[in-house]
Amino acid sequence: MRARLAGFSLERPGTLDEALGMLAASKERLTLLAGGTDLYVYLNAGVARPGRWLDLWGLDELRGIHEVGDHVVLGALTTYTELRASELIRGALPLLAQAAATVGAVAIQNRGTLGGNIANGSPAGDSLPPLLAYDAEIGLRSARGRRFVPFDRFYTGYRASVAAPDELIEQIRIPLGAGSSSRACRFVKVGTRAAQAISKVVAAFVLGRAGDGTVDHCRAAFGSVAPTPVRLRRLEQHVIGKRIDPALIRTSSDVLLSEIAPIDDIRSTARYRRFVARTAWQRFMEEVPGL
Amino acid sequence: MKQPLVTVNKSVRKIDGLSMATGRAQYVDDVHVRGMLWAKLLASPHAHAKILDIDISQAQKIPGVVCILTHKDLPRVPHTTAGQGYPEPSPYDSYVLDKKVRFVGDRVAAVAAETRDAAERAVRAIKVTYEILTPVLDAEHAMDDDAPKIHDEEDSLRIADPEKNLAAEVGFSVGKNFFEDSDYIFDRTFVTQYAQHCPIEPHITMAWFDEQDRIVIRTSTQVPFHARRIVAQALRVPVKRVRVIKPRVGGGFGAKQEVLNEQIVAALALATHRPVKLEYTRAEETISARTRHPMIIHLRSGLKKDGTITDFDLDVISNTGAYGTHALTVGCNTGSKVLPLYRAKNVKFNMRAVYTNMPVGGAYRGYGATQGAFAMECLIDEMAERLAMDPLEFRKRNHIRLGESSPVFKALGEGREGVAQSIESCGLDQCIDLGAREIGWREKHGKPKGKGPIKRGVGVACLMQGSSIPGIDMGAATIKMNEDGSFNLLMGATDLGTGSDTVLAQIAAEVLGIRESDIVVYSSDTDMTPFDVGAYASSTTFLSGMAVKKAAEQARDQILHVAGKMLETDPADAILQDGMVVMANGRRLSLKEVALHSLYILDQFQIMGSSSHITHTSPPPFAAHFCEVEVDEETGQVTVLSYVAAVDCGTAINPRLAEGQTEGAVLNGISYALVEEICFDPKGRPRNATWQYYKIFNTQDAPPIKTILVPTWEPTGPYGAKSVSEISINGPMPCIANAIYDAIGIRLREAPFTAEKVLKALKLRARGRRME
Ligand SMILES: Cc1cc2nc3c(=O)[nH]c(=O)nc-3n(C[C@H](O)[C@H](O)[C@H](O)COP(=O)(O)OP(=O)(O)OC[C@H]3O[C@@H](n4cnc5c(N)ncnc54)[C@H](O)[C@@H]3O)c2cc1C
Repeated sequence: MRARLAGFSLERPGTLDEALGMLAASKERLTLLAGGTDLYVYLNAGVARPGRWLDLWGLDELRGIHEVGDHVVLGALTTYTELRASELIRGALPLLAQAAATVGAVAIQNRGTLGGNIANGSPAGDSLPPLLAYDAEIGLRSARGRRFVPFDRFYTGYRASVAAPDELIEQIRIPLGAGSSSRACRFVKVGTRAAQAISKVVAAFVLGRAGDGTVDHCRAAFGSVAPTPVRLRRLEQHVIGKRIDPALIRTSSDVLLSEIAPIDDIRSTARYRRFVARTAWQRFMEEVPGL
Repeated sequence: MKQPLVTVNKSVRKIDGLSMATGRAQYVDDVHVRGMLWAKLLASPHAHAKILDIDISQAQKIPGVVCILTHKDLPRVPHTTAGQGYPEPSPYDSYVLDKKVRFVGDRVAAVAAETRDAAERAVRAIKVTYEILTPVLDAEHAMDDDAPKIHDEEDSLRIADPEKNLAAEVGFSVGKNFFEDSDYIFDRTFVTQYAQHCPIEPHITMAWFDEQDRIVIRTSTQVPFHARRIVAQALRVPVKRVRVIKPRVGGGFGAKQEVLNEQIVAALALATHRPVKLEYTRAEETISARTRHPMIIHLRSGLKKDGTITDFDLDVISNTGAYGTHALTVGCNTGSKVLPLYRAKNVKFNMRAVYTNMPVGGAYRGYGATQGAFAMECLIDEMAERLAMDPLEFRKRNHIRLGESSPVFKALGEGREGVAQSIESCGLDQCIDLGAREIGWREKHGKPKGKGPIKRGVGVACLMQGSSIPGIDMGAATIKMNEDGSFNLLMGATDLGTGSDTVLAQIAAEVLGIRESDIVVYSSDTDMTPFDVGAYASSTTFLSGMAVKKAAEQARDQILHVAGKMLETDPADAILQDGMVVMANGRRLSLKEVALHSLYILDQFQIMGSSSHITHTSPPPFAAHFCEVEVDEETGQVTVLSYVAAVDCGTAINPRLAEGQTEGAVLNGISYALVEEICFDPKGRPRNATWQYYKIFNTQDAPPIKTILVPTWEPTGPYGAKSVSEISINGPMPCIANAIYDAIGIRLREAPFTAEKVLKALKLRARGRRME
């Protein structure tokens, strides 16, 4: 471990209110610890921020997957293992369950949380494109109160978000119909190997059609193609109201390419990412059931 | 003589399996010596630089820092870190600490401190003034006249040509009128990449003083005896003052056929007179330890219309990085373990191992044959295609057969001339037939397959390796009998997780008519066990196994002699069976009775055998590998759907362990073929030196791997055995390349075959077609 542990202190609030109180009272920025699967890597690499850490793991208020009215509400501490095991998620929001199954490996899935993936804000986070594709809202909580932010407005730049220093992620709220079984959907992860690989490209698509066959709902969300996970709104707009045919697949692919800006890094190249992003989209479109 | 086998050729349980599975096995780090210090090495951030000054004053002030060593503190002794027999065929171009750094990760100074934290802080606090030199980062240009000289020191020895950055060079030519009889000439260049062994246990070494003031080194090594000799040499202490203990080892794959850190840890122990421990981090393992030599392989061949191969001309540039450890011998193997596989009347070979300011090449499973087989097996495929001949038929027609020899055996050995030999066991045809049937070759090869953008193809590669280094390697073993009819088997042979303790116990048990569980194995400890060169060159089963067999036979003869006297029977036709001596007349005695008699009753003596073995041949194991791949033409992704390795290793002493060696080698090879590669920035710094970025395939990536063991009988090996450990890593790269060709019609000659690279090749072809 590169970090000098002497520079760190860990506190364990017993309740959510206690945690919010500590956040409100602190002058320095506190580090929130959930499953630790990102933070411990930073600690080991010597790049974690020293100072006070708050361990959220014991806060039951941040756990659980529930149907509340016409929403699915997920506590921030929901783990990937819980997502995979949940009947509700597998049935109503299958892309989330599929994404969860590709994260790290079993040990990471047992510990890693949805809230941690969102707050960590890596452009390659695997749960993030499905959350975008499902119109998720992030429930932020502080001693000042609770507010919901649409997930596609959550990030303000590379690993930066609208969350204030005294706010934590309490829950994620998703409309029940977002993953309706009448809509076609797909999760795609391209990595170097089967497990424990950060995505070269990750994507989630949802597409619905009206009785006449024209597209009346479309979400296309990508990770690892821009500084944050992104929804390709121009692409979505482009296909709305049209019938899926080879021409649309071609023209929409061009729109897609104009809307992403991947980079070269150690995992892959910008060219390759552009190419497979387009391929993933084309294949999804070609294979939409009932075509 | 063939005889019914009882213990040998049976998949008995690995004798150390239970202790490993339950966490009781003792690795280096599982002991703690009181007062032990932590060591940490300062690694060079520059690829090529002179050290002008080292200021340790700040570092020394850090509480807990006990000792800091720089090149000023140590004797300057040129040596090689290659764990090879004496005199080593590698140049003496290394110093425990030097005034110059030659790659990013080269060592500058060593710290020992009371805590790891203090050691790490001290390393960061050492101030070094460097004169940065231009690095050599391109193997092809390393020999240019204007290339900076990497080994400009005057005291290094046996460097082929330091002026040209040439660490080693070797070549030969047999035959004449090259390419005059051929109808077709092929001329191809293949490129292989930097890869790392990635043993689960990184390099770890401890050293302390015993009560006789001798240095005891407990280390994760494949070569305990070479480690003792080289430490003594490098630190100028007598061999008798050094003891090396090899406990359980967590994998080596060649990485630990290297005396890498034993010298510096012993030097710190000497300087502090305290126990010291050094363990590499994963990043240090990748950057500072050893790698597979990347090679540029230029292979030309001549072919006649009737399917006869007339010529091979193999020219190799091997990048040995900053030091020439194993440079000559790895390069030799690129020819000697590849060229003899196919008959050709004219064979030419030239290998130049060049220095660069990049990570150091070393021994890595396959040892140069891996790179050579890639070129050879891809070219063989192309030659068959030119003749419109089935690649299997073409290989069968040309491969070396039982009773045949190859001039290559004599022309090229381990850094020197080789040893003439002819093939006394060969199951390659059967390997080809059985493997082909398993993969469905006839139904699949050359047929368009797959739907849409997903294409399928099958590929093949044939392989050979060696078993031990003839005329050079020696292994010895001692076996002694205990009161209950059990035995201690003491060996220098080095089990590094391979299962050799089990296999060698099986051999002894077979001779003595007992179970392998009645043998207590101890390996290896330079104070306690006889000499063995160590675990490399696919030698342990074949070579050390023979020493064990001979030692056990001595003990057996003594047992029969005692039993004969006890029963007053001529033991001439007696046998040992189920822990009993069974006389020809049916009378029996238990081994326990014999042991007690020999130790306590009459003419007391220790029943004990001790024997050494050297070999004058290096019988090749053979293999035919097959795979089926899927290539996604839209993403470039190559997926291996199934893999078949048919292997002739003579008698498999333990079939399950032989399968394990094969499967491990195949997965290692698939990973190397498809994704593994150390990448560098323009200054020669590795960009992916941790497992976060350097990805190796794991079980979830493994396709179904089917191993078919094809039994043959090798007369020079113990119970007909040959080697099995290295050969199968050579298969996947050419086998997958050939399968990719079968799938999409593109020949890839530059590894690894990443999705990015495959896609690029597809696009280039598409562009080419459009231009036509
Ligand atoms: C071996 C390994 C493999 C991995 N593989 C993948 C992969 O395949 N795909 C992938 O997407 N990720 C992967 N990760 C990254 C990581 O597992 C995920 O990002 C995970 O979701 C993080 O959750 P956590 O609870 O462990 O977060 P932590 O490490 O506890 O926290 C991460 C960040 O989120 C903040 N945070 C956590 N909870 C909250 C909250 N409720 N409110 C506000 N801020 C909060 C923390 O302060 C911190 O900044 C991998 C990690 C490892 C170590």
